[in-house]
Amino acid sequence: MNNRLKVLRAERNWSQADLALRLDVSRQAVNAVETGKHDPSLPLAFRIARLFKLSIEEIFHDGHE
Amino acid sequence: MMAMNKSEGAEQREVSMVGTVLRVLGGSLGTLFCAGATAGLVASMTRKGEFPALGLTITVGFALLAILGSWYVVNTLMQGRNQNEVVGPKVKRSRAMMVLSGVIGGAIGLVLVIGQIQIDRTAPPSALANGPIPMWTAIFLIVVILTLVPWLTWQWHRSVDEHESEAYRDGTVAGIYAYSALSICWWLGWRGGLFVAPDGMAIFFATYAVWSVVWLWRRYR
Repeated sequence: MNNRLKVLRAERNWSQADLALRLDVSRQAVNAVETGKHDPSLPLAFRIARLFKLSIEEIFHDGHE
Repeated sequence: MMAMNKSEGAEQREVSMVGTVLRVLGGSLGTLFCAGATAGLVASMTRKGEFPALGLTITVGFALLAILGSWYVVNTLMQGRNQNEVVGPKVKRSRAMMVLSGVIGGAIGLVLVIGQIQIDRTAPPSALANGPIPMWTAIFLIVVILTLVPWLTWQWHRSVDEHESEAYRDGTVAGIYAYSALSICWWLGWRGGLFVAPDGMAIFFATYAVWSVVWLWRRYR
């Protein structure tokens, strides 16, 4: 699954550790989601969407559009 | 300007990280040396059945140095982490559980060595030996493993994030497959006269190694 997490994070000048702190997950988890090695669960995807004040579809897409 | 500041910051973090790694390595080596000296002296005095004041003083000194060394290593790791990464409450709790698991594992190893020395003073002290241990040591360790360890494990599972949880699950699946293959093949090989009788602890540690390697690989890849 592709995502815009890295771009959204860079726009706010946040490091992976900053984002991890805001989501209360490990930095490795943020890195894994960002690089597509881990697809987040729906609860985590909603937390990410709420944090960036966007919808899930605006952050994550499966490449079929 | 911003880029330069970021680069300087990254460089400082890198230097700080190198210093932390060197201090942790040095501290760990010193701690291991002191712990080894303590174990060696205790084993030697127990074997001879003599506990001279000078020997006891030196042993206590090495034991204190080992404790100080452990404290230094943990403290350096905590400081290094605080400087480089602030973590959320759940991540902090899961890491604390991991450290506590390590401490309990070390304590179990120490109790095993002491139990082994009580039964056989001539054998080299080892937490992984298959020799007999006193009944009450065995009962105490079984109770710890059946009560404290599951509680700690449950607390850890409640605090880890989903990425770590997934990595752990993958490690567990790899571990159970490794266990199935190794135990059956060793047992068949033994029945066919190829190998010595299966060793439960060897299979346990091999399973544990596969599980840990896959878990860490999935977590940090």
